[in-house]
Amino acid sequence: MSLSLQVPSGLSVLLILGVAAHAADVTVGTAVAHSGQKVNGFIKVPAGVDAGTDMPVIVINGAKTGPVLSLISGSHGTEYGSIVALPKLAQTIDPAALSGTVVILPLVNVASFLQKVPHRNPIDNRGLNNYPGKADGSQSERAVAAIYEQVIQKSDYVIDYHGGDLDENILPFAYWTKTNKEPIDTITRDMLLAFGLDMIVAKSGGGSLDSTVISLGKPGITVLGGRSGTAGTEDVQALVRGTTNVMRHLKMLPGTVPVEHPLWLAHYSVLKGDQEGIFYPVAVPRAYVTKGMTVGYITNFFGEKVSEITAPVSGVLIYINSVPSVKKGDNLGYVGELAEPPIK
Amino acid sequence: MTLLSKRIVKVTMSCGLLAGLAGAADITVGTATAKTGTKATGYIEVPAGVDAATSLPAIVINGANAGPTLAVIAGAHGTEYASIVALAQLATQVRPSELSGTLIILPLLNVASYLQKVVHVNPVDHKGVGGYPGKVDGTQSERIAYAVYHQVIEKCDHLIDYHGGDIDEDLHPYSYWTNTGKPELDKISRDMVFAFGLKMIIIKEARGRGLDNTALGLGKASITVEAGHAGTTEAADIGVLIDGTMNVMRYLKMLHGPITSSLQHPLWISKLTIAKSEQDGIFFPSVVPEAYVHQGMSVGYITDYFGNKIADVTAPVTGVITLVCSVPTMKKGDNVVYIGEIGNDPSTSSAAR
Repeated sequence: MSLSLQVPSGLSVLLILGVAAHAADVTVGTAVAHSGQKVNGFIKVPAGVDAGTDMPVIVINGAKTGPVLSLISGSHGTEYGSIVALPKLAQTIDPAALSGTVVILPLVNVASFLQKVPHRNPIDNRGLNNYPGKADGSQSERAVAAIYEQVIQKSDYVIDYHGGDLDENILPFAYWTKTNKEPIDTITRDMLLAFGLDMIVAKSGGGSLDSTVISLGKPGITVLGGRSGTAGTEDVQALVRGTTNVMRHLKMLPGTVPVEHPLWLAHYSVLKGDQEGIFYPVAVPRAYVTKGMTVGYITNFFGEKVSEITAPVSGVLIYINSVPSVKKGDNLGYVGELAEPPIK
Repeated sequence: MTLLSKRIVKVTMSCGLLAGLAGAADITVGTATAKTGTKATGYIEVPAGVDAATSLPAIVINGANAGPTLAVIAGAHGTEYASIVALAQLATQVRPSELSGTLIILPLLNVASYLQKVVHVNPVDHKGVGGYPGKVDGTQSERIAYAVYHQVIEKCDHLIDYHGGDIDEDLHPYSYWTNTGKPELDKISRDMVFAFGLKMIIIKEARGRGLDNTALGLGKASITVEAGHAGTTEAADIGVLIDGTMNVMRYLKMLHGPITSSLQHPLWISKLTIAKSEQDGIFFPSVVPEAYVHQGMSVGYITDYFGNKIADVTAPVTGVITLVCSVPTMKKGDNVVYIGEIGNDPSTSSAAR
């Protein structure tokens, strides 16, 4: 593994200049952490065409030198598993034992969380994931621009946290954005193996946070835990444990990382609702389904079956809609095709 | 095959029997017109006004035999899923040939809330669907209430309003019974909650403009029932709603057979107190529905977004938890828990028996 990616460029410059790198303050928003300190604050997104917002941020500036790892959660403010996991993780990290810096944004879509609106920011009805954002756009675009400028550009590694939303049933899994470029694919693959979730779905590009990070030459991964409005201890702990293991893998914390053998998936297909009505799932996340098999059905409001939802391909059910609400065009699930593990 | 042919014979017989009876009248709700001994489905059309129109699904089951009209209504909160699903399933289970009287089923009043997965309110006008008798020239929620009042509440003899824990609420099933002070009315509605069979009954005052109290105000014995929680549609919750409804229909002599619920000594709740949050943050409950708590005891706590505990939420009174916030979202003024104070069976203190 290339050393240059282990040591962030900013710190390398400071080392060359002969300055004690670990003594530098790290500032994100209103949080200024001296070396060996953990500080809470907010990234302020001023009012523009619509209301302003404050995104909570935790900066843990390790006593020793090392890379900058940013952890970003809550772009969907009702994917509770990771929103609960990141503050818990923050409490477990001792700055004295840390090499490098951890920047934690536990909740970037505050309005979605407070108003319990799934999938989008109720202030402007947009998703909070279209990087690099716009400084003069609506709230979601301004929030994204602030994260891009103040966090992503300063990071060496980024983990984006999601989960099953209020209406989605999942078991924890990770996304691997495959660029077909080295060494970055190897680095992100090894981060995912260190994280240790037992299903990994390969994807290519898109406007997501991890692919934005990767386009800047920085390793980025996406992990998902929690589902359907819950923040179950098992899901929360999978995210806390996985993140800690990535930090060990990056030599930011002492300790070794267990080797895992996840299920690798690729080319996921989206199941869509073709009718308005009541959705009944008949398969659970992680079920192996064969092409043409029924994974759910829809009745009208009179109780009569009007549609069967079948698997378009053979593969593994990554997630399935967990609520009765369905309208035409709604996503009802993903089916991922089994793939060979990438050669190590 | 045997079953099917029996059913055909029954239908034919009842049609013949009813040819000259009062029960032979058609029943129309919205676009659904059911002849005697048949089931019809359709919609109550709420035309566009100051905002968009909506269509409320309606099922009319016009029994082969004469009897009362029972209206069962769900989905004023469109994401209280268990009751919406239960009523749609109930519609397929009640056979017109075996029914005396008429069952009117409205499984989903707040269609926009359901389709858009918006909790508690109608996203079209940001109001709750309620406040009967509604307003013909009001916003969509008010026009829905107006249509339901005139096309269903006025036509029925009894009404059951179905609710449950919303996407952000955890509860165990319970009923509401209104103490109107009118002995005959109170006895029938009390018998209805006993027949329904949910083991906790919350006593309400005859105030407000909800479905049950509006119908009671018109002299129609009516109740409210709650089951389901937090976006789920568990078989047990759907089951108690369907079984309970069938038992109320047996009590009202709309269906044959004995009442299968054996509720003898429910838990009576005399007063509900709501503990509200004074903070924004992440909520962690420490109690579950039906837990008995003492005044001053912690029922949950709130952390800030950095993981630091910033508030303990304590029980304002001693009693039973009837509802707990089920999600981490907590903002100032949100409901954290409902606590019910344990009361006496009203039949021991009033004329309601």
